[in-house]
Amino acid sequence: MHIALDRTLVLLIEHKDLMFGFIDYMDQNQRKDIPEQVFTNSMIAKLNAIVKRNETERLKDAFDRDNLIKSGIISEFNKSRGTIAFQPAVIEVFRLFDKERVRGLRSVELENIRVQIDNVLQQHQDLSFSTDNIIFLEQRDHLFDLLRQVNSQIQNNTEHLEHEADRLSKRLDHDQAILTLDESQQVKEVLLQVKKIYDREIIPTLEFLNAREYSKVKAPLTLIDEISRLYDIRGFEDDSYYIDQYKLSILSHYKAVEKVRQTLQRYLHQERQHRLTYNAIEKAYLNLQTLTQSTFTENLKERYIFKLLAESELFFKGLKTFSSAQDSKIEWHEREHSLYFNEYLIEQKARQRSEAFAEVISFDSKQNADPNNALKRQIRALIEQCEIKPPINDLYAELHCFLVANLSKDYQLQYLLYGVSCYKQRIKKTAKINVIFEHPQQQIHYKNKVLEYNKREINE
Amino acid sequence: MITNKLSQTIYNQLINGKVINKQAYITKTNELEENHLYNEVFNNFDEYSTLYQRINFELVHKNSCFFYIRELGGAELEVPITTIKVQALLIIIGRVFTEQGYLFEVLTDHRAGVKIDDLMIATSEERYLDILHTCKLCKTRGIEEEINNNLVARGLMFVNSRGHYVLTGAGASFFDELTEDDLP
Repeated sequence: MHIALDRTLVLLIEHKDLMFGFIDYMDQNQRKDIPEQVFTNSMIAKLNAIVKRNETERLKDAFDRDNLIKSGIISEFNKSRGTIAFQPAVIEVFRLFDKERVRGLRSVELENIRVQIDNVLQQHQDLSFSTDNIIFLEQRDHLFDLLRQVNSQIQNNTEHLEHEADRLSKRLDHDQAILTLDESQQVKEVLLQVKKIYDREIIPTLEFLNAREYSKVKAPLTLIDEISRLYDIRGFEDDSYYIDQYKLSILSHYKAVEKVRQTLQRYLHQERQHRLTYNAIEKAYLNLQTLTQSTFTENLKERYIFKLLAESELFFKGLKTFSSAQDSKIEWHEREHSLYFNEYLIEQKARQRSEAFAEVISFDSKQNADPNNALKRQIRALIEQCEIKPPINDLYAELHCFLVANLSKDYQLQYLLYGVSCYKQRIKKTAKINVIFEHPQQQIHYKNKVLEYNKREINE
Repeated sequence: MITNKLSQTIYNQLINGKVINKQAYITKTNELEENHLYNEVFNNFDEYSTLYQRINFELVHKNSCFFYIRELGGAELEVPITTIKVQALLIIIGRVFTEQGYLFEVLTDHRAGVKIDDLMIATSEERYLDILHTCKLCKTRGIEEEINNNLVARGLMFVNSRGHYVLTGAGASFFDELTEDDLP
């Protein structure tokens, strides 16, 4: 069943994760296409994850490979190689949904833009500037399209770089030290990413945006300047003005990219430091390996080991031979000194114990009494003396009123439970308590607190 | 002024082939603290230097980080096997560590360090074993014992409170020097 392009696209946008997965696969493997197997597996996984049957059917039709080919979302299906390539425009749209997936402009793409601008300049130089000249009009349209496109690409690129710098900085700027090998591996990978972005995206972008950059070829902004001058000389001042505006707009990203460069610079120093350490260790290891191999001559082995190694090169040159047996200690022949010492300690301890007098410990008569205990005693005394007698319709309500009246400021709602418990103790032999479950739970509000309870009746 | 008690301890360490590091690791607190033995030698360097010269040793202060002594002139013709053992072990530990893609800093951070299991690869791969055997290492003992005997006992590594091996200032300065040699 064929589903129209717009509906298929809407469904794909609704299920962005699917396309994000394909984009990630292509980026990780630096490919422009994906293997058919990856496509099929992702589709199956996606459809299995959907619970609604109708939805599954709908997506199955929409995301069917043939439907995607018909609707033009898949631009190339290579049966012999088993690869699928998506329409670049579609991929770019999905990249825009997630900054992390926006691709930065690399040297090749920037050079491509420069060549395009250069071509436009050359074609303009040969043109007669006249509004009657159709070729001129076409070239002018092409020029403005190109400038618009370059401006937008540079803007996306700047945003991408800012996002990447922010993301990588967050991963590297942690207060905690790197304490595990896994953490250290992760940090190292991030540092490598920083280096990659710095070398392959930031520096080429800065070179692209720097009109004064020395190079054998003219810088893109210089080319745009020359085009603008051409328009100005030939009497198209308005167009020249707009071209200048585009140039300024493109140039305005320089500062932002420079800021990103400065942000990443310190990580780059870290990365360089690590690289130097690794290189130094590798070099020392290879040197050691070579020396080892050269000592493997049957006759001379062992005897002239490492004779090649210049002693002056050794860092710990002349380090003394270590022997724990050389520890200086007092020798007391035929006597086990530690035994005597332990015996002495035991004797000392025993003497100490026998000489020490026992301290008389008395209970502190002025112990800090828990204020709650005092209150409890007061409540108990009050309940013992109170004149509330069965029959009682609602024990909680009665006691609450009684305690409020007698305890005044000290009273809190939770003391009521203790009061009830004391009262139950008091009357347990003379009266019978019935819990009334038929009525809804009662509530007592007091000082912003609420006590919910089942009513209790007391009968004689 | 030399302190008698400290100078005896210092002598005891140096004569046994140990180095005196600028900082000492305290297991209880898991922190590095100033080593009072280092400060003692540092503050009275000339006196100590003369003292050791008189008993035919040179007191070496390396990288402003640690002290050790070496015999004056004595064993120049001999192959410096002790030094080779120490350096070979350090290089192999560094290589095993960096080859697996870990940050070298972990090896020098007293709170981190490396488990002995992570260094066992040195005795399970022939390329490392060849070097170790040539340097008369790991022939009868395991790598742990060799590290303990040649590095930990000498103050080039220590075992932290997590049981991980960490390079001391002296151990780390060996790698610093390697890197400095390599600087463009």
